[in-house]
Amino acid sequence: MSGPRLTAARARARRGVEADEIGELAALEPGLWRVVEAGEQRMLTVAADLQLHNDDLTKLPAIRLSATQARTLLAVLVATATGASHPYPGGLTTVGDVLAVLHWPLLGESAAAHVKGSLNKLHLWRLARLGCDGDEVTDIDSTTAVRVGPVVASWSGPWIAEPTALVARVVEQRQRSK
Amino acid sequence: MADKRLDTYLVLLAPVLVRIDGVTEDPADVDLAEAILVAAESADGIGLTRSEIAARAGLNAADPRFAARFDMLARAGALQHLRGDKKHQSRYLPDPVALLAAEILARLSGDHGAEELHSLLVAAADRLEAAFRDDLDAPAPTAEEVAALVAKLSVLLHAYAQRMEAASTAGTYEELTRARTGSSTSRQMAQIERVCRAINRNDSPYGHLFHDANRLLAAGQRFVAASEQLTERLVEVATSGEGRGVLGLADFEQYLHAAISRNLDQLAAVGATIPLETAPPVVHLADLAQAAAELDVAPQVRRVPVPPQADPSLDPRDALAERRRRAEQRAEVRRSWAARLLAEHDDVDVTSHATTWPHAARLLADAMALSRDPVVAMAADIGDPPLVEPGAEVAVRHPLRLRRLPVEPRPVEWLGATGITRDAAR
Repeated sequence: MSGPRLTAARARARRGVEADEIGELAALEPGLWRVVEAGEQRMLTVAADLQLHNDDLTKLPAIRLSATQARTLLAVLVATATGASHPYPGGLTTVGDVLAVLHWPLLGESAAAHVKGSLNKLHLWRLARLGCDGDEVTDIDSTTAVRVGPVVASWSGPWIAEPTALVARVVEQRQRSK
Repeated sequence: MADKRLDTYLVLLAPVLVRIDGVTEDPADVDLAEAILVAAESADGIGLTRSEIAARAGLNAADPRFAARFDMLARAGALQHLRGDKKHQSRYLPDPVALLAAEILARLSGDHGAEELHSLLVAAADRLEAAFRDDLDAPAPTAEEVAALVAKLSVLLHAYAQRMEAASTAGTYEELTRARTGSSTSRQMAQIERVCRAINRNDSPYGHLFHDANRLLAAGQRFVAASEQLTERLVEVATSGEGRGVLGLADFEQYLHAAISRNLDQLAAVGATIPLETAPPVVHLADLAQAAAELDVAPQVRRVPVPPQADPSLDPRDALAERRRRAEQRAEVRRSWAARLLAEHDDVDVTSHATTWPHAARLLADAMALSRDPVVAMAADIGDPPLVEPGAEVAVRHPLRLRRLPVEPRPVEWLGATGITRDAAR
């Protein structure tokens, strides 16, 4: 394992990049990794071209979201949508609202449990953020606060318009059905 | 022939010349030459002009250092010269042999030839085993060729072993890492044993090379021993000091001891510093689109099922009223029939009215109902003796008579809508 990779692994485990690591992390493959500003701190994330992009992703040995995780992420994006051109930072919402997008209570208890599990995963991967700032979320209920995570801030590229349009369409459909 | 070989060697050596750069010791020159080759590789099959290559490499075409490196690559044959669209324009494409050589060089510097050594051993074993398969496409090598091959392999293995032995005797961590050849030695040994078995087979035409095979086996054993010794030494050096790389972190015994003796908080603190290569899953547009498509088909609100349209004919109250109406109608018909029969007589024999069994049954039921009907003053008499009429359709009949009762009909009390009457006197 080379020096930059070791530094990268430590930075990922720590979930933040220290200032003195930036120079070393620049030696990582720039097509795959980059350091981005997310809120007050810097983080190491997959390069912009790889998030969301249809063509490049199929060639990469990258892990994809499962169906439930993708559905939950979409629900988070819909519930926090503000109509802006980028989903980050989005609005503040609750787990109940996210479940409502997924047709709670028709969803059923078992499916809701899977959604909550996916929310936990998304929180772990920083695609979503559970609880108010600084709070450690131990138990998810329908009043738990949700917002999009800092990784969403790193989404960029021409294809960011596509998920934004997708979310806008779902929001419009929901308003029409009300 | 010699000229052709020289050309091939030049092309093959071109990437080597780029890397070591025979005329300079300045690393900047090496970077520059590598940038030229990389730029030329992006030619998309139509070739690039000199200035295009310079532009793609981010260099100035007028720079004498660029000119020196470019000319060297072109002269060595790594850049093939094509005729351009314009009269004095030249286009360049990288030579395939040079590209291959660059790949081989990259591999050699990556794993120190471990994969090449293994490939050589596999190819040698395959070639020898072809001698026993009567394969016309792959003719068996002659005994002289096998002897030369085995000698070369022995020398190669001894050379690797020699380098590893020297490194493990007094090498630094970096020297040890550099001398390491492959992670597994058993797979190389397996190929060496294949070669030796092919030579020592009973029907082998290479039986007289028995001693060469033994020498190869000895070289293989020396290689394996040196490789294992080197690995041990590498682990020893890596774990002895701090900051020696990932091996220092991955000492199994230390972690096992810590897992048994330390408390959870300490383990969590260690866990937070262990470098993990896990990356979060990347988000794919297709996944989000699929999720949105599934969301569309889901129902938006909860709906109470619409009750089926009520069929009036299925209402039990209506059905009951209908039955009563029909029963009353039937009673009226029956009474008028009885009144017609008894209009002129006090007593009527209706035995002959029963022509068939269903008719007889209905007639009997009507007669019994009339005799119980308080509205009409009449009674039915059913006789016991059977009447046998051989010529008739009904074989056995009982005499049936209706007679008028002399008394006036008693006042009756209707029991609501049941249609059942009861004697008021009772």
